[in-house]
Amino acid sequence: MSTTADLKKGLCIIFNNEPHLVLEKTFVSPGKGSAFFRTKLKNLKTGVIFEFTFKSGEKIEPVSLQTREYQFLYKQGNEFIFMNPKNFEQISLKEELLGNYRNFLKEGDVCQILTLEGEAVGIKPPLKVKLRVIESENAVKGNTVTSATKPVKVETGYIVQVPLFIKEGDFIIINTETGEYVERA
Amino acid sequence: MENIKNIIKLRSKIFDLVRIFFKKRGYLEVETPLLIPHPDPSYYTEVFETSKINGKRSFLSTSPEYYMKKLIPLGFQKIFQICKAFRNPKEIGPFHNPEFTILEWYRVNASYKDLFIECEQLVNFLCQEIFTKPKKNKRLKNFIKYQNILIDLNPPWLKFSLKMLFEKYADINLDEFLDFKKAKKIAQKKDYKIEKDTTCEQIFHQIFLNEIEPKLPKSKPVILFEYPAFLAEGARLKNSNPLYAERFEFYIGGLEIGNGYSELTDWREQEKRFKQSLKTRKRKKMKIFAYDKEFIEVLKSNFPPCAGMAIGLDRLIMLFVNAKKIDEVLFFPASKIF
Repeated sequence: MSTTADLKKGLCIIFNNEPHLVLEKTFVSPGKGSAFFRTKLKNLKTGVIFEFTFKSGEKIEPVSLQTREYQFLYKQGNEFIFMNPKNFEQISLKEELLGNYRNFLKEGDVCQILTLEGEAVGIKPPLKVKLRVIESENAVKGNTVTSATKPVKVETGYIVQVPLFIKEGDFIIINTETGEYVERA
Repeated sequence: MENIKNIIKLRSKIFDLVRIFFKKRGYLEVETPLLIPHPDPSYYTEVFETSKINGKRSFLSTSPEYYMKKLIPLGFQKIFQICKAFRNPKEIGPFHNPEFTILEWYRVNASYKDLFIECEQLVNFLCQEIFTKPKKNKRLKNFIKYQNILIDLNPPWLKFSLKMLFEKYADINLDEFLDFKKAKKIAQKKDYKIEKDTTCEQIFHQIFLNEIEPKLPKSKPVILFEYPAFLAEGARLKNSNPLYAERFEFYIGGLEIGNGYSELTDWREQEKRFKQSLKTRKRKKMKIFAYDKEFIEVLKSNFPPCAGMAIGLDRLIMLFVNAKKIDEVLFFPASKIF
């Protein structure tokens, strides 16, 4: 039987009858109280992220997720459609379950999809993505006093703040977790 | 490196300021042993046991409470101490180091409500003396910024009874909760798991941590007062309503900083609580040891009414240097040296 001692980032557990991914785990203990674990959980059916504090030693119910490579085909409504490149089987994932990564997916990208009993429940995003800048205004003079950055649009349509030297056509690296510019590729 | 040097200097300054604050108010600085034969039997903290001394088991003190209280019948009206305390945690977290620094003080003929005021005064005094440069905006006097939240430390702080908080945020009547059977039912209705060895304290704190603590205001310090009797610890029960204890805690910026109470002086009740705690320890398969009979004898000898307060100094320092983790204010955190 698993207990909170087995809780860790990336583990999938059944919580209130639904699969949840553990995003964070912190030890907390009131001065005059016993030990607890504060977790950040993501409901894999709805994409909702919330905090829950477990009693230390409480039983938990882990389930194993499968990771498989899929290719992103297109977006339909609020669903992202992926295809298994080996057997051409298609699978869809709700926009909410992609988190920030939804802003960085290009058609044709190969990514790691998490599945639970054949159903897609999440995606394992790479830490960084490389994207081309498709729109960039020249920095407005006088604007540099308050900020040395400007907004540009990348090929997925996402708008990000970058340093002034970035030009249209440049490739830039973006952190998928924070959604922020890292460096010029 | 520069940063850690500044923190070392600031710690030293805060220790000086704490001493100035208490000595000006007529408090005597005392020392009590850290290596002791009878640690606090509270069942929520595990102790570090060391090797035997004169054939007797010895432990590292989890709190100076009982030894400081033993000094009171000698006639001291006001005493304080800055010392280390040791608690063996299940895990090292962002707010816990197994060895940490406690500021503890006792005052004769005072109650928990007198301590509210002393805590407000201490924290404001420290803030003024640490940030000596006058603020451009006078209205921001005694404001600090912690984790991007501007906190107004000026008194009076916000004060909520636990009964009020449980009602407001968790829709629970705490009076009913005091019946363990009812508490279990309330928790199960809210989908919390109840197992065979789940205690009332665990249910209370799980609801508190999930439904109340995250909602506590952060722009002002918050005093939470009158804990249910099963969490009385060394506190006296309220005369007007013995379901609750004269115990409080205060939070600043979401950090739990201090705990205080009107001291329990009834030796029978104290002995009963020690025995009860040891029973729970046994059930939870924790270390078992004898409770401090000498302390019970001290209570029998006309122990005066008094109040006592303990503050986690490392946490208070975290607040003043805007540290997210306790490790940032320690030079040699356990996570690094072990």
